[in-house]
Formats: sequence, C-alpha cells, structure tokens
Amino acid sequence: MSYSKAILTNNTFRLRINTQNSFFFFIKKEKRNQVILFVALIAAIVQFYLFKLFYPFPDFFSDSYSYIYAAYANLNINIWPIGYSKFLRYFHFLSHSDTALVGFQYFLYTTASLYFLLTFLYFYKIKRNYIVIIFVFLFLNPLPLYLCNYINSDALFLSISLLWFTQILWIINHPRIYQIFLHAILLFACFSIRNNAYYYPFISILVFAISKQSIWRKVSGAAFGILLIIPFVIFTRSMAFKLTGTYQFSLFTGWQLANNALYMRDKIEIDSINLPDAECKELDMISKNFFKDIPPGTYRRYLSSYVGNYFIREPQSPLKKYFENHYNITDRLSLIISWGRASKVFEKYGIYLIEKEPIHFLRYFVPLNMRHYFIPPLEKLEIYNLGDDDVLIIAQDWFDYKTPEVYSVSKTIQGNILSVFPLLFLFTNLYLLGCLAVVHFKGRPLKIYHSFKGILLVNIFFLFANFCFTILATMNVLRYQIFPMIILIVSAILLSECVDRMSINQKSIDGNSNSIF
Amino acid sequence: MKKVLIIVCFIMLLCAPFIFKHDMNLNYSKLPSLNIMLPDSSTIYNTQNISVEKPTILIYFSPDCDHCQEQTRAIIKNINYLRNAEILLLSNSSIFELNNFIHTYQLNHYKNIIIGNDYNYSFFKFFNIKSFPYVVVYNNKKELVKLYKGEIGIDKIIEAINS
Repeated sequence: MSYSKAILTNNTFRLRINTQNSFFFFIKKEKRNQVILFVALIAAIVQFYLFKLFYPFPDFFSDSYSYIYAAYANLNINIWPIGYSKFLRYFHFLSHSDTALVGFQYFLYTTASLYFLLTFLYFYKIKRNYIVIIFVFLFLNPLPLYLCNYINSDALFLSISLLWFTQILWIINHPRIYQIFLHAILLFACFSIRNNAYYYPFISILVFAISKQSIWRKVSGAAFGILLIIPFVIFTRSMAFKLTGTYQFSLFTGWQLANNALYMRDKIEIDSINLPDAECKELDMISKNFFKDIPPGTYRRYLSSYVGNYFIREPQSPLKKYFENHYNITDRLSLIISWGRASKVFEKYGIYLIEKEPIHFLRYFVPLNMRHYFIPPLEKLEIYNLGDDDVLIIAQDWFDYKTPEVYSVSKTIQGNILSVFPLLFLFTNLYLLGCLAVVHFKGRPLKIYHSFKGILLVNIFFLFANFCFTILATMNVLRYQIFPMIILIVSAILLSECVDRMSINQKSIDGNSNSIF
Repeated sequence: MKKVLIIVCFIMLLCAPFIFKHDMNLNYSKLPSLNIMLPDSSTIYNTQNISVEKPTILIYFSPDCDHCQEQTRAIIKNINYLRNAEILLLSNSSIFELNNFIHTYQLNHYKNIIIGNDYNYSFFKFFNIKSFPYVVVYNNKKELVKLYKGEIGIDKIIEAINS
C-alpha cells in the first residue's frame, strides 16, 4: 500500500503518514480530489476567457510603469523590490503579449492554489462544506482575476506565498531534507518580490522549530532560508550605494517611516537642535511650516481618507516639498536615484521621531491604520486603469500596443463587484477570534485540536505578524491582504472543525449522562 | 438535459467574443482623408495625395510646446533615417506661427516634410487630440503602425516605419 493511514482518534480525523509519492496517489485515488482538480482547471480557463473579453487589456497604475521601467532598463534596484521587474524582463524574452503575461499570473495562481488546497486536504480532514468554502474562495472568486490582471507584483507575490505556505504544511506534517532547500528558495523569492515578506523569515523559524525532525535539520532549515536572503540584502544594498551613494535595502522604507512619524508630528514638541543632522532639521522646519497652515480638525479628517500614506502621496506634504526643493527629476532613472537619496534622509528623521515619541506614534498612526487593517480599502482595485483611457508610452512599447488606448467593459463595475471583500475580511477576523475564544476556553483537551495545533499555531503567528506589520509599519489595502485572507479562512475552518467536534462530543456526553440517570 | 445545457454553455462561450467585440481603434486603422492648408495659405492639400509607396509620419504639434520642439529637432537630426517616409507636421496654430516655426528649424530644406495648418480642426477632432505632440505612423499601405500620445524617442519612430 503506497500510503497508509494512522487513525489517531476514533472520530474521523486521520493523520496520513506517507511515502513521498503518495501525495500523487492521494490525488489519483480519491474521486473528490479529481473533481477538485478538474473543476478548478475548467473554471480557471472559462473565467479567464470571459474575463479577457470584458478586460482585454491589463490594469495599470503608477507602480506598473515603475516595474516596467526597471525591467526595460535591467536595473538591479528600484523603488520597489526588484523581483517582479526581473520576472517581467524574463517573461518579455518569451512573449511581448499582455494576455500571455496576465494569463501566466492567473494560471500560476490557480496552480499554486490547487497545490495548496490538495496538500491541505492531504494532511487535514475537514467537512465537505468547509472544502466548498475554500474552493469557492480560491477558484470561483473574481478577486484573483482582477488582481492577476494588474501589471504589479501582488499576483506573483500571492502565488509564491501560497507555494511557500504549502511547503510549510509539508514541513510541519511530513518533514524531508529536500524541503529545506525548496522552502529557502520560495522564501527568497517572496523576499525579492514584496516588502510584505519582511516577517516571513520569523514564520519559517517557528515552522522549523515545531517540526518533528532532528535538531540539526531544524537549525539548517531555519538558517538556510535566511542565509539565502543575506547575499540578496548585501547585493541590493551595494546596488543602492552605487545608485544613490547610500547603503539601503529598500528605497521606500525611509519614505514610509517618515510618513508614519509625520502622522503625529503636529501633536508633539521636538527640539530641532537634537535632530540627527542638518537635512533632518530642514525637513522638520518644512514640517512645522506645513502644520502651521493646516486647520487641525479638517486635516485629521482628511488624513483618514488616505490609506496610511498621506505624506507620500500628497504633493503639499513636507516630504514632497523637501523632495521638490532638493532634486531635479529629468527622467525615470533620476526619479529612482532621487527617491533613494531622499529615502535615506527620511529614514533618519522617521526613526528619530518614532523612537522619541513611541506613545504618540501608537496613538496617532496606529488606530488609523488599524481601521484600514480590519476594513482594507479597495484602493486601486476600485477603478480600472485609474479611470484613464490611455497607458504611458513605456507600457505601450513594452506590450507592443499600436495605440496607448485601453478599454474595458466598465471602469467602475469592479468597485461594486469587489466591495464585499473588505467586509468579508472583517467578518473572517471576527469569526476567527470567536472560534479561538470558544476552543481556548472549552475545547483544548480535544484530540483534534492537538492534531491541528501545529498549523493553527503557525497560522495565528502569521496573522499576528501580519497584523503588527500592517498597523505599525506600512499602509494597508485589500490587495496586500488576499494571502492573509486565505490563511484567515483556513484557520477559521480548522477552528470551526474543532468547535463542531466539541459539540458532537458534548452531545455524546449528554447522551451518556441521560442514559445513566 | 445535462448534455444540452453543456452544449448551450459551450456555444455561448464561443459566441461571446463576437458579442463583446470592441472596435474602438477601427477609426485610426487607415490614414484618414482630410484637408490641410499649406504655409502659402492658399493651397489645400489632401492626405490622400501622400505617396502610396512610402510610410507616413503624422505629427500634430504646437509651435510653442517644448516637447514638440524637441521632437522636431530629433527628426531633423535623424532625417537620413527617415528619408523613405513622408513626414506631415500638422498644427492648428496660425499660418504666421507655422511660418516662423519653418524658418526657425529650416524645415523647407527637407523635401519629405510637409507642414500644414489643420484649419478646420479635422485632424484634431478625428484623433480626439488632448496633448502635444501626437505622433501617428502609417505604413506604405496607409495602415496604422503606431500611435503615440506624447514625445517619443526617434528610434521608436524609425522602428515603426521600418516594421
């Protein structure tokens, strides 16, 4: 028998102890898995085909052009992590077609989701209804279609994150030595695509720590992923030095830190003499002047209409004013160089303010961001191509368009279609917290809970890390939360399964008690 | 019943591209037949008179726009690479301003450059022009090759006429 089952409880939960090939046997043997595979693939083809009739062109916004430029100029560093631009460049050697690129992004997502779902079902037995919920979210959902239609790193990051997380399922349940390398490569890929992967290495360390394997394999597994990232960080920093004259890993971090700190600048008193250097003093002077002319009430209301990036986006903001005063932008390359140079100044300023006034930071920046965490704004997803009829020349050339004109069935309908997802994210968070409370107070001794404990621990840790990163460090929008939403749904389902079993057990206990009396 | 449903769905999917077909770009696909006034302020020139053997570069510009001036300088500098194309520089500015522009860039020295006044805004309306320069390249069959909104590198124009 190529795969065997160890029955751990006398209920329906099974932990499969498998040989390496038995995952494929599991897919082949169980009719349900074949149905999942078949329906998911057919649904993906049909949905993509129809979607492309309604949206013949990809969706673009400012970041799209930045990624394309970095790919076109073969840069090794950009304002955003360089991974997606490298992907664009290599894909361009294969095809100039936008449909091929968007198709690749979507079918990579479908494949990663299938691998994730089947692996999940391989290790954890859950009720049919719950499988349907995950299936619908992964494969019959307009959100990934819209996301994959963007020329932006979100779709690729989502797919690679799904693959990385699937690998985590394997490491927790069925550790093998080759997974150390596979996991490290996937972690590296995530890290090179989006800054949101900053906290992924901590998840990896936890996963290897709780996995059942020898200590040297645990240590090598946790270390190898990080070891692969370190040369990338060193390389990126040296590229930043070549371009901007300063060592930094991300040309965006300084902007984000200063932006976050400025949310409290009007509420704190700072002695500018103590600021780290002359540039910070100048920036602080601009900030003070900015706040002098701003009506406080209106300003705070206005701030909340932004997704936590007011001082990066608003042309009148102190950061933009400083940038405008100091740098002359002539082309896209000079923009990246200047952006990076300014980032270093802003980083010092932002860190100084936050370290000096952490309580005010928690009071004035975090609550606003927390609201955006629980109800993430649709932002760019709300409207096709930012409502424009054209794309920039760089995109026109990259995809060999005859004209810069792009069109779709509607520019605004996607805002209505996707409007349910921010609320779904809120609901799933609340549901998960409810389930956690029930299981924690009533169901911990349950055997099924112990069987899910490893993955639940990782999921909760992931969600907590994502929550902290989102509310403390970055702006938040729905497209950043799609992968966390999948983890949320899976965690909620695992906990629901525990709660269901608890009620079954309770009923049987009640039944036995009744029979005694 | 199930089979019928599957066949109906399949037929609907096949028909979908024809139902949702979008023909936004059909207007530009051929060089339009439109009149312009030449700098002598009396001759009306129709775009159908452009040589059928050569590709056509149509540039809509404004004499006082920096990007248009830059684009014109780039064209003059690389005129050797553009010898096989007819270049039509169009503007809705006055004949007086156009003649100044011709004089500044010595455009009358180049046989393959025609400067015209879009006196009845026919090009302007046809292409729905919102910014300058506006560059359209047609091949020798007068079929659209590229349409650029904004200043474009001369290499892209050369590439377009040779494609």
